[in-house]
This record gives sequence, structure tokens and C-alpha cells, in this order.
Amino acid sequence: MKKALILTGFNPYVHTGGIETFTKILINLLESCNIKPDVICASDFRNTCNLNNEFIGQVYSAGRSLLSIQSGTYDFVVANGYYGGGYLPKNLKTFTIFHSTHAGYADALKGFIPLSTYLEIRYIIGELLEQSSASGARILAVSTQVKSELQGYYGLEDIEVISNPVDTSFFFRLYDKEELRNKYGIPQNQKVVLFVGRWEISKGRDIVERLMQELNELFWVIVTSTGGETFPPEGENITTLSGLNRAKMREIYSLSDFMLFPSRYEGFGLAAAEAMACGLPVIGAPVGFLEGIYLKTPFSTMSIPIDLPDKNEIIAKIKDSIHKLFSDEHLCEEISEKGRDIIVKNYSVTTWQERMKNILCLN
Amino acid sequence: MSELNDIGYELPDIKRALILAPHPDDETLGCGGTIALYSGKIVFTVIALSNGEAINLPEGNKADLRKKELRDAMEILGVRDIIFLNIPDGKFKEHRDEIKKKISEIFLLKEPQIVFSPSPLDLHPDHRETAMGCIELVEKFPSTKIAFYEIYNPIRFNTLIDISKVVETKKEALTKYHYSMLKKEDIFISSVLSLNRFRSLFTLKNSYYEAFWMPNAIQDIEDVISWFTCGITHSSPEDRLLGTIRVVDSLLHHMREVEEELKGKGGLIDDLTSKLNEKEEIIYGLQNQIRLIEASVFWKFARRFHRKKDRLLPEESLRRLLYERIICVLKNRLF
Repeated sequence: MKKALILTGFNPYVHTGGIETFTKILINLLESCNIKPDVICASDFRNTCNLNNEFIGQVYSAGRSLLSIQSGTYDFVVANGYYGGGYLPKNLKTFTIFHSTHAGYADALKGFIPLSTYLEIRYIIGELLEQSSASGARILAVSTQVKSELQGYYGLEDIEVISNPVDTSFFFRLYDKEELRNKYGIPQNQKVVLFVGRWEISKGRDIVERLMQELNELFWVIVTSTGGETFPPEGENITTLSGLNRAKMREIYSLSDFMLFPSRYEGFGLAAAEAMACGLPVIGAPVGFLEGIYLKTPFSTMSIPIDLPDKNEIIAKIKDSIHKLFSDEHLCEEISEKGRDIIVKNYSVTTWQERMKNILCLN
Repeated sequence: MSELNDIGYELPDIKRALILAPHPDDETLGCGGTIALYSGKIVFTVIALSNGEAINLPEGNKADLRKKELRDAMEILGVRDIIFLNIPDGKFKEHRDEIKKKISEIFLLKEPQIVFSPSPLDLHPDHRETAMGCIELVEKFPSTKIAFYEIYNPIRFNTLIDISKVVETKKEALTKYHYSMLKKEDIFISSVLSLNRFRSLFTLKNSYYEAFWMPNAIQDIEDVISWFTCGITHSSPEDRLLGTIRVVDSLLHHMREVEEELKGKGGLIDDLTSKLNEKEEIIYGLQNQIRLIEASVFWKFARRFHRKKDRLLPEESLRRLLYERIICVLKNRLF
């Protein structure tokens, strides 16, 4: 039996981020191909090199632990982005998949975060760890945006784009909306806005907070994932949920009227893709895979110009999109149907599995 | 040798320098000429890490003898500031943390712009340990430059200081180290001056030079050793990566501390700004009052009266006398 090693940040069965979801799907793929995957999580390691940034020390230690693995123990290694940073030089056949670039992420957040944090993300995680994670590996990127960032920031070449998979056979709209809203204690007579992601500035929490104050006729469902900066506000029109499994996520996508996705940076934007698979219109920033989506009609009306310097203009544009969505039933239906079609056609697990098998030479 | 084109012939324009001497005499052997040459421009502090008590001679209180010799030599070179760290001679490795802590405190106190250290490739283990500690310290004080000097073996250098004018002074200072130089100072002196003389090979001038390597930017130990050995030493890529991460991580840690400090002072700045605003409002109010007074009939009348006062009340006239008396009475009553 072949063996593979996956190098990642956090336990995919405990944490709920995009990389963890990807890792679980990858594990399923490998097992279906009769390959036994072992997973190494940086968070399980100690910061043995005594860096001031504890987690970077853990990432380095995790990567370095691979150097003591004898050749032949594993047939190949898959490293998730910078989590493979300490794994240098590569003594095993390695694929590094970039779900984002931290240089791009840092630049998107410049001005919102302290300079020291910007430099740490940009240079230690980006320039040093991501570059070394790519060194000697076959490089994969989850979107054309990430590919061009890898080329532009790090001068990397020979990058293959393989979009993140969405399980479209699971993520589809459930039609008992009334019952679902009752289940989660959400009113029937209000429009429901959904936000999914870490409650932090990079995900546009400041924009959501403003809109919560200004659009109190809407009901807000906030689904937070682990590792946010702070907690969402509380209120009569707000429900905050966290740690939801995918079955519950499907219910939440199905009971909502639209998703607000004002993220300042995404490598792919898996939550938005899952929402679209469930037929939920997404009013979002043109980041990750959404960059290509918002170039097309009728989706272009739902695009948020998140990089405008004047936040009032961003807010006004979102309000305009919400108005268009609720005042034009036909538009809403078209976005819902075409949105799912795009996800099924381009980002389904089946499509991804075939491509990934080719890349990993599993056929 | 193309790198000869990049050699500097003077110290940077600085005011404060530290000299790390693992034992009394190292500072004079390695950079005595430079100290003598610059002692009018630069305030040198010599740190004697040990008192050199492990010297292989039988008699006397070795530590005291060597400390005295250092003081005498420094008097000749024009150095007044000497600090003794009293680290046990020959046991620097075991006292690494203590050395770093003590020198770090001196860094904070003296704020040196440059620190002179033996090279990390020197034959003496205490010298190498001093260099290692110094490199780690300079990583934490990135505004301080480092200059490596040579003692027991020639080093790769990028700076040559022509000490020909002060070579006799250096020699005189070295003669003070009779005991430290195992009573064979003539051999020590001729050897070290031969090393200084040998550096003429690179300039083809009839001179004496002290050689230093002064890196332009902060370097970690790996980089320093790699430079000294012309890149012949080869550390593993994972170690080099970690070395680089360590340097950046350390710099960012300090930056974060400064950011926190600034954030803490934000409240004070806000307070002072609001006080300034209050004062400006008072000034604005007073300016308005002045404008109102200036626009009043009384003020206009007073100004016109003052302009025509000498014509209406000529000097030494009875009217003027009467006017001045009335004014005097009014002033006395009012004030």
C-alpha cells in the first residue's frame, strides 16, 4: 500500500477553515485510491527554535521533522502553503498547494494592521516560508489570482492551477426554509443575511458591523470560524454560530436570503462557493474565484469594490446591490440558478478528483 | 583581487565606540593604533571581559597585575572609560548568558555606534566566544555597527586603518603589558607590528595598518562565518532559513515593543492635544475680545486722540500739564 504525508497547520477534524476542509477532501481522495495518508499538523509541534512568534516556530519545527524521515517511508508529500516552510530541502517527492499567498494577503491588509504584523506576514510567512515551501516542490495554486501572486511576488514558475473542490452533491439548497428557520430561531418575516468567516478585518468585519447598524430591518446570521480577532456584536437581529459541521452549514446556506462576503483577501473563497452551490446569491468582493465570477452577467451587479478608499462608497454599493437583489425577483432567481451551475461545472469534487489524480499520478 | 576596490580606509563618522577585550592586552594588540588615532574624535569604552588571571605565570595577584597594565596602556592611548566584567578567564562558554546580559546593559547605557570585537575565527576560544556573543547582541541592537579585529590570526577585511602616524604610541602602550605578554613583550610587539606591516601588501605603501571587517548590515553568525571564509563553510539550507527567520523575527519583536510603547503614549498625546485645543480656544476668544475693543467708539476716539495729542496738548503747555496730572491721578486710582 502506498503512503502519503500531508503537512498542514491545524487538525482538519477539529478546525473548520478552508484549508482544513480541503485537507479532509484530499484525505478522502487518497484513501479512495488505496493510499494511506498521514497528517502532520504544525500546531502539534513545539516552538523548539524559540522564535518570538510561537506558531512560526511550530511551523518550522513541523517541517524540519520531515528531514528525519527515511526515504521510501512515503511515496509523496502534500504541503499546504507555508506549512511546508521548514521542510527544506525536500528529500521526498513533494507537491505544495497554495491556497493563498501571504504577500498578497499582507498587501490587501496594509493600513489595517500594525506595520510589524504586515512585515511579519509579508516577509517571514510570505517571502521566507512560502518561498521555501515551494522550493523543490511541484507548485499548485487554487486560483489564477494565487498563481499570478506566486509569480509576481516570489518569481515562481511552472505553477498549475487547480481550484478548490466543492462537494456539489452535498451542498445544494434544502427547500424547507420555514422549518429550518424555526430550527435556528430565525424569524420568518425578515430577510436573512449570512456572513461566514473569521471575525476579523481581513474578512471585512468592519463593513459588516457598519451595515448591521444601518440595515436593522435585516436579520444577520454570523457563522464564525476559529481564530478571529474579536467577537461579533450582539443584538435582537443577530445570531452568531460557530463550529458548525457541513450538514449544518448546508442548512444555514439554505435558510438565508443572501451571503455578504466583503473579504479583502481570499485565495479561493470556499465559503462563497459552497453558498453558491446552495443557490445563495453572494454579494462579495472580487477576490479568489469570485474575481472571475463577477466579470460575468448577471453577477457583476453583486460585486463589492472593497478596495475603494472611501468606506461610505463601499457601503452605498452594497446597499445598492441588496436593493437590486430584493427588488428584482427575476435577477435573484437567475443569480441563484446560474451560480449553482457554475460551481457544479467548474468546481465539483468529481472534476477536482480527476485533475488531482492526474497531478499526483494516482491513475 | 577585485574586493580590494571595496576597501575603506577610515572609520565611519561616529562619536561612541565600545572595544570588547576578552583579556587585558587584546584591545591594544588588535586595535591600539586605531584607538590612538581616533581618541580625540571618538569616546572609546574598553570592556575587559576577563582579568586574564589564567595566564601561565607563577607570581603575584595576576588579575590585579593585568588590570593595572590595562589602565596604564589605556592612559597612553587616551582611553578613560574602562569596565571590568570579571568573567572567569578561559570559561567564557560557561558564562555565555552572563556575558550577554552584562554587555547588553552596557549597550543600553553607552549606546555605542560601533562595537569592536575579536573575530569568530580567532585561535583563542574566549575570543571566539566574545565574537559570537557580540554578533547575537548586535542582532538586537541593529543600529550598532560591528567591527571585527584580528589578534592571533589574519582575517578577511574590508577596512584598513593606516596607523603609521601612531605606531610608536601603539608600541608604547604594548610595552605596558610586560606581565600580560609573559615578559616577552618584545616578541609580541614585533609580531603584532609585523601583522600591521603585512597589510601594506594590499596597499603597496610603506605603512602600518590595522585590519577590520565592518559588515554594512546586520548579519547572523552563519553570514559572518560565511563571509570570513569566503563562503567556503557551508551550512544547511534549513539552518540558513532558520537563521534568517530568527533575525527578522527578532527585529519584528523589537518593532512590536516600540509600537506598544507608542500606543501607550497615544493617551498622553491625546491629552496634550486636547489641552492645546482648549488653550487655542481661549486665545481665539481673547482675540475676538480685542477685535471688539478695537471696533468700539471709545477705542477709535482714544486712538485719534493719541495721534493728535501733541497738537491738542503741546509739550510743556498748561493744558498738557493738567492732562498729565489727571492721567496720573486716574492711573493711581485704577491700578
